[in-house]
Amino acid sequence: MKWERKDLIGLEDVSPEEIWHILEVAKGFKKKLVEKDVKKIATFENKNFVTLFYQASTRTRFSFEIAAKNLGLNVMNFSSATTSVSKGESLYDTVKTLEAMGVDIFAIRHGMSGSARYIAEHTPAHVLNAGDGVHEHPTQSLLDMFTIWESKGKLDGVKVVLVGDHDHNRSSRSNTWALSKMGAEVVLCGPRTLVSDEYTDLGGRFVGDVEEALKEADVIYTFRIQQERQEPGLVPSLGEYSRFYGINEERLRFAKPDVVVLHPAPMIRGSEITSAVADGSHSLVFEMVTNGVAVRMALIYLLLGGES
Amino acid sequence: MKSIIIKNGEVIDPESGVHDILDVFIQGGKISKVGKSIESRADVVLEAEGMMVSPGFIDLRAHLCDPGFTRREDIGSGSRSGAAGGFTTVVVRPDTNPVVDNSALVYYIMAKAKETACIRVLPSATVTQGMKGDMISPLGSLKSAGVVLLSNGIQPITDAEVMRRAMAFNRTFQLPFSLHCEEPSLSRGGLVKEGKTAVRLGVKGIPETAETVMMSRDILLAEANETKLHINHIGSKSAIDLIRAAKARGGNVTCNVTPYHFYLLDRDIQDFDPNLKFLPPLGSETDVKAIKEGLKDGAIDAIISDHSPWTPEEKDIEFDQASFGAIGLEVAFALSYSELVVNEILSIDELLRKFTVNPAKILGLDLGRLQEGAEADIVLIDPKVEWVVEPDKFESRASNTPLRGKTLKGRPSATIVKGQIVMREGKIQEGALPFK
Repeated sequence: MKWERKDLIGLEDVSPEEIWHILEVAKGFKKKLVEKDVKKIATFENKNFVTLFYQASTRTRFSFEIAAKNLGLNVMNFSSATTSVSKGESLYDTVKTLEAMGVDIFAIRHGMSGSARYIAEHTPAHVLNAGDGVHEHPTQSLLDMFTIWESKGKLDGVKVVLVGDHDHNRSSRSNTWALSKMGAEVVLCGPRTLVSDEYTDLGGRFVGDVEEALKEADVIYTFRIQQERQEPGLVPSLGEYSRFYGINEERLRFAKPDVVVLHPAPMIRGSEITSAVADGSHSLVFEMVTNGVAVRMALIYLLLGGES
Repeated sequence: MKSIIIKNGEVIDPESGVHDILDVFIQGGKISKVGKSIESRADVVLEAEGMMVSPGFIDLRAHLCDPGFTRREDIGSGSRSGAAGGFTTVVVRPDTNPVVDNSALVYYIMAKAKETACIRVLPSATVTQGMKGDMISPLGSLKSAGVVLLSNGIQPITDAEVMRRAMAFNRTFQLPFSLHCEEPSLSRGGLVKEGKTAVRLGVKGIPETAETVMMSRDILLAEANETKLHINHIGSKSAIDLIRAAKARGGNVTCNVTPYHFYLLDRDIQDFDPNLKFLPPLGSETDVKAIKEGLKDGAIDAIISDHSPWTPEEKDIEFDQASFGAIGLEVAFALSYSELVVNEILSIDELLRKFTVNPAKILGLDLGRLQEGAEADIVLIDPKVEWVVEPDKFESRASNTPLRGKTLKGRPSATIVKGQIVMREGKIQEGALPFK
């Protein structure tokens, strides 16, 4: 298929064909990454890439940076604490300034939902959403799907149980939309204060009891309570959360024997996931990191017209 | 002062029920005669064949942002915007800078209106001093100075005892309380109505209970303290149910709605369009249906412009940070007419009632009727004209409205205030200052 998007803002309006296309391209890059063969695919030496991060990040930012470098781009990092933002410069002006300096592609992370779209509408440069508020985090979801596809050989009919704080989690939103349209069976689990009644309008079904939810699961996707994005008091304590929703070895038994466990990290070990599970044989937590680089390479490659 | 005769118009006076082809004779700022084929000679003849002739519209809530925020609007530009939209009276919000909580500010507004306004600009005042929600404002002095109602802007008075005291103190002065009902602990951080759209966009939702919890409190306090209570911009079915129940108990409670809230739905907020950010937030289909039913059966008494001008720096920005609200004076009637009368939800008489005599009664003022001896505040309406909303050409200093590019039907074609033509064929008349 022919890639036609200038930007990748979210997965809500991306077709299954486009998602498959991204995953296929990522597969090629994964092979090169595993074979330590990336030097040969540097194709964008004259392009400038900026990671525009208004929120803290380790994984996503490094992942984008390495992905871009693997493709030969000049990479620059922007952090809101060390730039004119601290002098009150608007998002709009910051982007227009960087655009005027010759930036070709932005990866933006911002605390406001809708910020990536806002930027994409105001710059001719390419925009990759690296997380906007609690709206979407498409590259995370794509690497999650890539990991599931790699381990299960398919997405259609795979039962994926997402356990955690859905309301305040952008990866949950992107995954709920994307996995549903890829044919996976999506089950949402978490405290009722963290899953709105209307959440299942996005896709999937809600099951309140975690052990009930995990039955026959192919994939468990657990994630952190987003304490920095929610008001205090929605969950009584991390202990209470861990007791009723934490993923431990006993709970894995409710799932299929070959269940895989995904976590987007950072993990709060002992809270939503025990170390025994995170480091155990079902865990793909660190495989996901490698896949993240491959998926982001694929996206940069496609947005910059690598196929044409 | 010139005499005017309006010939052969379709005169509609909701107060008396008159609806007939009649002439209207205006002299000395008053309506001196209404009847068939009046022979009297007048200085100005307005041919009104094919036009509706109604009492001028009365707006219970518009933000003219003066003093303090005149980059958005001021009393002069806001009054011209009102005249262009057929309004002859506008009550201005008191949450200016400084807020209107003392007589000096009331005198400022009245003086500036006299010098620059082409329609009646009536001041309201804040319930509490500095709009801080603790000490009540000098309500008696404010009324003596010319305040027609009390308001909390969009700032909730969280302390119920403060509200009770204000209502109790006001029993002597009987100013209507015009309130925006919002429980801040429930609405905190919310941008759109709680529900599917909020979940989809990943923004915090405002639950319906933010409106109804506070409204319930204020209705009960008003009932206990003989207060004339007027609720602003009803936004949900549940809120209308509360109004109905209060009216059924015989309470002195009335309410209004903005045309945006029966025209737009929360699901119209597809892609973070800041022009669709409103307070209360846009509702669901159930809410819009209930609002239309409430307008039909009288649960909702008035339609307001809720005119909220913003500069592009305040509105045309990221959704999260954009201000709430839209300009309304120049579209309120046309949007209401297009949505309600053209779609046969209300008769024209029923619609005009919400723009004229009902708001006049809520204010307790002798306005809003087209009868011999009444103030000559009149609007001529062309019901057939179709026009495209081009907010950059509006009289308002601001242009923030989601209606840009929409075709509306019906539009005021002339506005007469105190016997003086201030707008004719869409144009504000040079030097039209009827109170100078």
